[in-house]
Amino acid sequence: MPVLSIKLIAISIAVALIVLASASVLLPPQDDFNLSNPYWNGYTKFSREVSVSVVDVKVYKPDPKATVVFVVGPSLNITEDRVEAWREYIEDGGILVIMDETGVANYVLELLGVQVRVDGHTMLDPVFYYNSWRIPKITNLRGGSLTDNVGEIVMDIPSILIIPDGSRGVRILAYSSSFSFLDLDGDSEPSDGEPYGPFPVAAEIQYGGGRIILFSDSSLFINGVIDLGGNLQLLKNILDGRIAILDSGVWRRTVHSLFRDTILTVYSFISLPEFKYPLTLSVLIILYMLAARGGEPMVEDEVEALIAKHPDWDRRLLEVLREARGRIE
Amino acid sequence: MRVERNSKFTAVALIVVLAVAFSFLILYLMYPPAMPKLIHVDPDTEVSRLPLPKLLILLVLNPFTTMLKGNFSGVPAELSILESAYIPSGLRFIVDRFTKLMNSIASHLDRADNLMDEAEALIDSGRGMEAKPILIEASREIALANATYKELRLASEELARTFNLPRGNIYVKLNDLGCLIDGMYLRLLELLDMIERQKILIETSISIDIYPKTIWIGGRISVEGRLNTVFGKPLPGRAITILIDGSRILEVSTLWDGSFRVEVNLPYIYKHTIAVQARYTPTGDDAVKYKPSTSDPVEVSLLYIEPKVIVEPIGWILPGREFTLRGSVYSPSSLPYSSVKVSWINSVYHVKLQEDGFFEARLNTPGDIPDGEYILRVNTPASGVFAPVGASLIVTVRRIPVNVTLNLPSLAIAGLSVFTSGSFKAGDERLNATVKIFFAGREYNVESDGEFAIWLNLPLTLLSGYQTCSMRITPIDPWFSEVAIEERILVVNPLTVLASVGILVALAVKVSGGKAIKTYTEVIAAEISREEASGIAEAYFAPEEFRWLMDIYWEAVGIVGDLTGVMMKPYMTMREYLAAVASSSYGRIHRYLETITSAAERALYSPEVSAWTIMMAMMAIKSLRSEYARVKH
Repeated sequence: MPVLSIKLIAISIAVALIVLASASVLLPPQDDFNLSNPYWNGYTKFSREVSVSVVDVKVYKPDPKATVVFVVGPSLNITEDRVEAWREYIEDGGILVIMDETGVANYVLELLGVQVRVDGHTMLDPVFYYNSWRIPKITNLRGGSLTDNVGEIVMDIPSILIIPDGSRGVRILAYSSSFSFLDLDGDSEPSDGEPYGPFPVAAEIQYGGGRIILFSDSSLFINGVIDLGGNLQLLKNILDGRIAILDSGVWRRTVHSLFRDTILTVYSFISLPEFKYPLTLSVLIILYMLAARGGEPMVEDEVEALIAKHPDWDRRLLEVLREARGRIE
Repeated sequence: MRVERNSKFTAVALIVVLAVAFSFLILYLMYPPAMPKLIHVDPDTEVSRLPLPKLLILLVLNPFTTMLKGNFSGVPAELSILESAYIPSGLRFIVDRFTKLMNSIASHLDRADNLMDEAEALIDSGRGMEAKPILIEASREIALANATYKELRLASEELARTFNLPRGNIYVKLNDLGCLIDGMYLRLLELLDMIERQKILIETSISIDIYPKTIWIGGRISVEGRLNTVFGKPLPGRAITILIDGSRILEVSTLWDGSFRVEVNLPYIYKHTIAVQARYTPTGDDAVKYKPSTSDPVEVSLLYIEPKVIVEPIGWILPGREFTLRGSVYSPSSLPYSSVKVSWINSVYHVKLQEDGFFEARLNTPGDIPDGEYILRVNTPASGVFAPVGASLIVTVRRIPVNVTLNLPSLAIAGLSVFTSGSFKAGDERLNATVKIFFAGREYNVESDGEFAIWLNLPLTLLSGYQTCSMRITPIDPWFSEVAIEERILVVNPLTVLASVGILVALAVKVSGGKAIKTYTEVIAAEISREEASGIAEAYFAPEEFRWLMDIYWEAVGIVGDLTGVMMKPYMTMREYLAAVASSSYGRIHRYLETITSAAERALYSPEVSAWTIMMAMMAIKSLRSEYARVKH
């Protein structure tokens, strides 16, 4: 019958948690747009190609003249104070890149007083695409310096932009092909009444002292798409030497990703000089203590122990006594 | 020992089970929650799908349509659109073959068409024999196009079958293309026929003379000439076209002797020489009787005045500020105009000239242009014999640099504020500017006229280490440079320092343990503690249910030792210690100890201890404790 004690359970849980922490760090996250996610929906290639930081812009205001803030695929409800932080950033000369195909960004655009909207329905192209109609190629580019050396861009289940006539300060950067259509009924086939392209899919909006660059697709720069067409060159053109800032406050994250980040934060915390060196000393001290404890001989045989303690006692008598006790037991 | 092994096994099993369970938990938690709308898919795992035939056919037919309109050079562009459509790699060769053949036909037909145009021009100017080799080359191109066309029919069939394209539309276009090739053959034959017919035409000749051959621009020249056949027969009443540098100027008719004479007002072409020619193009009945002819070109030298323009900007050219431009227009005679045109960064100024040709202007430089080199142009108008002239100047626009001093402390404590000050100047000039400092995720703004002071807050959440403080100075006036600098401050967080030092001190205290204790009482206590430790080891020889009795015994030993001063040595047995206590003068204490020793011996050496013995031992220890308490107080 195994013996369970609180101490044993506590040690087991502690060891298991260490294993869990190690496994969490070693296993890459699968969150969309995560800089550590090496899979097709991650951003590891993005982080390799350009200088990038992940910060919550609401908490940490970046330098508008030296950075470009990316709001990619927002999956959380965006709050007014976050939009206010973005507004200040743009008005001070910053560039805000909003990439969304769901229509979540419309609330942001409304608060910013911009007339452009994201439709939210999926745009498919049955002629110009990569592998499937859901991954259209965009060849009609008019972005000037933003689309220099960009022959085409590839999108991944994009939507379209709705730009009312007479919108001021709006410049359309890219149109889908004339064969593209908006899949209103969601059957992935062109149906009667569904509008055909060309549709605007990227636009630049002058705002205050800065600019908003709006894409109707959040997936332009994920690992699986960034190397297709001229997507990487487009990214470099947008940055133009600035540092990319990914706003982390717009994503719903997995528990694993949160836990992993916590572990990494703890790791970076204990990497601080004031923790690193005392911790090293502490480990050495603990090892010393364990070694000292381990050096004591283990008492295994009661007769041997007694003889060691009382060398003048009769070993034979003690053994007889032990046998007698054993018989009674 | 068995129990110990069981414990180890349980510990390992528990760790493994928990680790596995947690690992499964990670795998479960790794998957992102399902989004309400699918926002992307892995492009490489998408199932390949062919383009929609009813749309793809349009891309296939467009190159045909372009070619049938005679725009052969536009065909490659149309085909490149087809090529950029999605074609599975396994079927790419079919499209490649189609586009290659289409390009080939377009190229042959384009060349044939150009050759026939060239030949037709020669035939029209009466040089049919020179056109003949060109037409032979054109016929070769048409033949190649025709041969390729037959291959194209097969390639189109394969393309239509592979991509399920409607064949009817393609066949119609293919037939039209065949007709186009046939049409070009017919044109070729017609041109050859024209050459044959030209062989029987009479050659004509035209010669001209011009007076004067050097003249001021805009002046009048006299052109005289004669038109006759190669046999010397004059051709009266024929229309002669006068050409200057290939452009038609006017027409004149020949007189009874084939001669003609005309006064020509020269256009204001500011060139030093022009070429004058006369051309005869037979019309009506003459078209089937005479060949056309063109005279040799006669060069006429033109005289005109080219003024000289000199410009010079005065001072440093700064964005948002005006600057002075001075210059002059030199001419051997007085200028017929009173202003010059100055072009400077999207603005045009008409600047008035003084009598001596001198001019001065105040030009404004936009404040939003970046530093760099810009072109300034000054143009004079064309006027009569005065040719238009221009002067270009590369002007450097550069803002005045601003010198900045930032005083940051080298060390700061998190949780406190840091006083930062600085100053900026442009040379010796003070200026107004907005100072922005970005530090620890916060932005600090201040309007300043040259000196500033800001308190920077260092939150306690800031970890120890170097923190970057970036500052940007944006001058209000656009002619000063914007400056951005970065400096680092070493921040120390007292909380983290205290926490780590605390942990270290606690560990150090733990390690030093009793070794650091030096008082007499503590030495005695430490000795007892060590002896108790050995007693605990012995206690394991007693059955588990009587171990508490051994604990009582060792408690009694401790009390007795404290009361009598007789300490138990490591080599003493229980009876030896009892005897040692008996020799002291504490009879009552000895009795208590004897009772407890007796009970402990039974617990050690006998499987059973009677209730009476236990009760007596309990009473003895209670008595000992009360005795001890009494003595100590």
